[in-house]
Amino acid sequence: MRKNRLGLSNIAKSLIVIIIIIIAIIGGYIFIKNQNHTSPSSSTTSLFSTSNTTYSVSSISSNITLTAGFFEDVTSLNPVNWFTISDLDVLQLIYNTLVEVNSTGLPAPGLAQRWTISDNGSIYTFYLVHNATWQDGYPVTAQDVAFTFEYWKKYHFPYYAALAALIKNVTVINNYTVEVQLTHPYAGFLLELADIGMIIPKHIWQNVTNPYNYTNLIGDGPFEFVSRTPGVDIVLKANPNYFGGKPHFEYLVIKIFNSVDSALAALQSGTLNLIELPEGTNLQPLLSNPSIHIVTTPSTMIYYISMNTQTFPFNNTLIRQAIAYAINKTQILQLAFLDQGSVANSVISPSLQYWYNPDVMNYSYNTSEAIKLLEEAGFHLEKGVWVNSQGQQLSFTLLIPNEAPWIEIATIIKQQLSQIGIIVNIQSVDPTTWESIVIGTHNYQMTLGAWRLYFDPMLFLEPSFDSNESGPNGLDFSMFNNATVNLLIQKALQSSSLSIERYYVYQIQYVVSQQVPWIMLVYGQDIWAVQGFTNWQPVPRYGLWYYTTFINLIPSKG
Amino acid sequence: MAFKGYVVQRVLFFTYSFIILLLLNFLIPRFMPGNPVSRFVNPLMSPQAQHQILEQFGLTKPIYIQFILYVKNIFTGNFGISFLYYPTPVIDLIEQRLPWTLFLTGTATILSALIGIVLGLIAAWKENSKLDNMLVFISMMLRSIPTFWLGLVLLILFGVTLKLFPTSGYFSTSFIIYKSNVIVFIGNVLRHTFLPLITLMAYLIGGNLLIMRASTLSTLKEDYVTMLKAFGYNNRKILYSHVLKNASLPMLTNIGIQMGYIISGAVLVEAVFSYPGMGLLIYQAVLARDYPTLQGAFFILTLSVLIALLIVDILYGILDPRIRR
Amino acid sequence: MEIPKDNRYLKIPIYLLKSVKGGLGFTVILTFSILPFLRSFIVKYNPQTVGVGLPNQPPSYAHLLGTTSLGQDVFSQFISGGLIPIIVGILTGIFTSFLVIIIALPMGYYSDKLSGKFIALLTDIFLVIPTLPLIIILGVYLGPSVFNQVFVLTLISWPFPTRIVSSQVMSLKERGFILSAKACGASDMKIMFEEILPNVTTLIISNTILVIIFAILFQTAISFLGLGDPTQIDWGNMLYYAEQSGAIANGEWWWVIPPGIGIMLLAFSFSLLFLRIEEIMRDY
Repeated sequence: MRKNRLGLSNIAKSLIVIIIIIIAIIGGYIFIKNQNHTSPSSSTTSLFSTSNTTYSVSSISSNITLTAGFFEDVTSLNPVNWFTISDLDVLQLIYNTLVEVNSTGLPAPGLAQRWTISDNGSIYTFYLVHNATWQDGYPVTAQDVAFTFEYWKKYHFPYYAALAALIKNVTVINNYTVEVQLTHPYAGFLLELADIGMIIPKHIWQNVTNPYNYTNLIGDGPFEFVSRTPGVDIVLKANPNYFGGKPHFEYLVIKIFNSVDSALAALQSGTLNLIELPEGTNLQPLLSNPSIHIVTTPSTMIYYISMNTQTFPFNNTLIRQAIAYAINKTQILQLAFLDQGSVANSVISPSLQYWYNPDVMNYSYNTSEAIKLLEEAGFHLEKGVWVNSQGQQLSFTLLIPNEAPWIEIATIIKQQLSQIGIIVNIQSVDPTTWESIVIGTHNYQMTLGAWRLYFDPMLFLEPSFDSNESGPNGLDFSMFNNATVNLLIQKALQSSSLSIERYYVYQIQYVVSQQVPWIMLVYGQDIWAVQGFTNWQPVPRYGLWYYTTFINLIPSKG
Repeated sequence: MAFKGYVVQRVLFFTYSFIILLLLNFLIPRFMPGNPVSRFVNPLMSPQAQHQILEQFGLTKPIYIQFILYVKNIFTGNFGISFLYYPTPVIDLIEQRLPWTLFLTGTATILSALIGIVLGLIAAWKENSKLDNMLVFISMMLRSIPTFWLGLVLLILFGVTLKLFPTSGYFSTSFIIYKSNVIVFIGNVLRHTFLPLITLMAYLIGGNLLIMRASTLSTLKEDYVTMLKAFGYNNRKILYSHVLKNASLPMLTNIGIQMGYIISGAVLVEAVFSYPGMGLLIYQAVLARDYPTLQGAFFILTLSVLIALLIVDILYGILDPRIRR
Repeated sequence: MEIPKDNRYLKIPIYLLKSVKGGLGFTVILTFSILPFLRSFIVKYNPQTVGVGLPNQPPSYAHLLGTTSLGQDVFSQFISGGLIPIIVGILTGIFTSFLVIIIALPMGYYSDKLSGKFIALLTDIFLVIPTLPLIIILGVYLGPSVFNQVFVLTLISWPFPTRIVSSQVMSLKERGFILSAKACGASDMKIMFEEILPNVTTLIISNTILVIIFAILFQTAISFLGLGDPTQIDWGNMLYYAEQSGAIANGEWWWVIPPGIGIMLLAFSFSLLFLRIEEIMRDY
């Protein structure tokens, strides 16, 4: 009777078995494939030059690996066509720049052991070290420097437009001396070179047809590139022939972490040696772990509120100033940052000691002053809500990306402002959408932001406050348009000495604090967790992620 | 003959769906606000620089040209270059991630199916016994636990507090540097995948058990089972040779769909355990607006789900003749 | 064999509540729905207010479940956090079942005609559309309100039960009593809604509860990923904040365990209801 059905069920069953077999085959395929893979990465070239065999490796403690952590993966590992800060953080370990920075943030020797600047500030002569070599054995020479500078001018690499426009021409004087003429004097040139001016090898890049996609990573820095697995890790190997000294461990593995949680878990379980933690992380459990050291280094992080100065209600300076007085920054520092930082006043961080102007306008928490300014702006309280003569309510939307610490800060701000009757609506979107609105169309009223400042303050001040940058996709997203500041910025960019540049930078800070397109909240701290290694040496802005640190770190015993 | 017509019809269906989804796969990523360059925000990044990168990504061409290139490339198996991991070809990314996800979710699905079928069968046979009640209770519990939460709890308990299992990845990085033998490697992989596997299986076992139990219960009520019992067949024989096959039918649909979602199904678990599979890749690609990766991943995803549906429909047609007409 | 329609469905709620399973499930759900409104009588702290206690503190007399990283009271958040999942879950279930009825009936009934096949195609396509980008896109364009969450979840949930119900409809429509109704000259609509519908009601109801459970778990997952509305109080958001501030690695169990248990209890209660309804359908 049911035989037919039972018989057909066999077919069904065998179909299931077939599917299971397919999965098993795929599983077997994975195992076999991954056994043969030493570096399961894609088209990035893994370099292991055979010419290194002539150098001795006895001074490197082999088999010691330093595992570091990143929260943002690298995107494009290309010394000229890189896209993100994570890219730069890795590339700077593989390539050197002509000039580095010292512990106070001023220029120090790098590939160039010394340099001279002409009187008019337009001509720089660099004298290179004689013992720097590329990782395939070739020496680093002035020809490489000239080639690099001309390369920046020849192609349109995303981050090198400013340098390309600044450099007029380059002359090789001899193998180790090179002369650069700028289009106009600019004192910040050296600092810009220190930040991003990595030199690339001429003998490798001169025959490249498409530099945008070229993935060769032979450099002259303390580390060599080994492999990269997208989304997982980047593996570097110590360069035994680095002219600045050899690292005391052999491998540097950078693991990508998707959340602070997983990083903390890795620290606790002892599988992570070095990572920078964001402010606001609860450090108590780490502090009670004897093998983990928490190191605080001078940070150039600034956290701020940005208001759209061309939109109601923030097109009125009085309103902006009122809000500035109504925000209790100390409470934000305590709750959202767990006191890991300090209350901010100027747009420039005090870690940039040379440039920081302490005498800007201070908006200490003062609700009565805030109320006074609101009334001066034509608003009055009606049933607990601020209304002006045209009947407009003082309420607005605070647009934030849906990540820490913005949500925490926004929650606190909303509650603080509601105490004096200002209504805040929080709108939270994913980071890319946030960027497309705030930076792209500037179609917001109030938002939160942070920057990690470079050593040359103009690199940040110009895009942020010059009204030429206030169009779509421009970085003056507060749409700040102030004639005085525009003029000061122009003067600063033409300054022929650092002290002249500083004069203007001081003034810019003061006017910006007066006009308050941004309410400065907190200066951040760079918090590093280190385990298993000692003898670190922090540097401003880079903290422990600087080549000097990696050269000096020593594995701890036991 | 009607069956053949049925299969043809299902395949046609598959083809229409596939074509429409090909179009959707191209459009959906582009509907998301923002563009791939939005995340490179930096004071040094001028609007000109943003435009330059967009040019590198091929996004400055008119959209219909982009579409034509997309379709042309699909047929040569070229999914383009990832924006998230530039300039890695998308096919390399998928090739790297897909086997790991298949391994994780495939194993979880199959094991949960087997366990669920067997336990569900037993529970239904011993309906209302202590065993049955306990199994039902446990299954319901398992099905109610939010997967990501379970993952987090297991991670902290076993990964951090007890340090029994590693907390991320699919194998230790040391294998890249220091080659080792196969056995150790497999052991390492199993250690890394154990917790995510358990997390995934918890929910699936609960569901499979309950469904199997329900369908077995209704199968047991059918006349032919009573008849088999009356004929004096051994209980176990009845159970495994006759009831199993018929009660499995609704389970099949379920498992078929689960298979289809194998690739994307584990996003939460992959995120919690930092297990670099397809789910995590898709999630990060969505946030970064990495169109080529999304197009490639969705392509594989939709293909696998459609194939699974096709197989399930055909099986249904085999097993229930009434559908074919 | 003809299956008579009767009004047994009206008796369901009574049988439901009378049983242990159904009663228990219902009670738990009701509790979590009402508690948020009684919050001010139970705990004096508003769940959102920051700084009512020191951050990251374990449970104490003042704060029964300790505090969050912003110094908010966890117990207060726990009490209030169940309302949104319940509302979203139930509304999703209701709207999904409407959609299922409207779509699955014609899809199954006209399965051999072009219209039926077209509906089936549409259903399959929706089944396959990747959910994550859909959530992000819709989330940005619609905003994160509760209603929009319901909308998105309904969009994701309807294809699966529709398929199940429509295949049931397909096999039902060949049965004797349908053919005889056709022979009597009954219109398609009449047949679909008066003859077939009552016989798939069981399936629809049980699938609806499954959808509710799915919606609760999915809504929590969306909040956990930060794609919901981070300013609303729900258990998923609690876990989201906990993870963002490293509470989990730091072992702040008072913050991490309660929301998970809450979700579990909710889903479990709906499962109890589901089981009880299945029993009723089978035995009565």
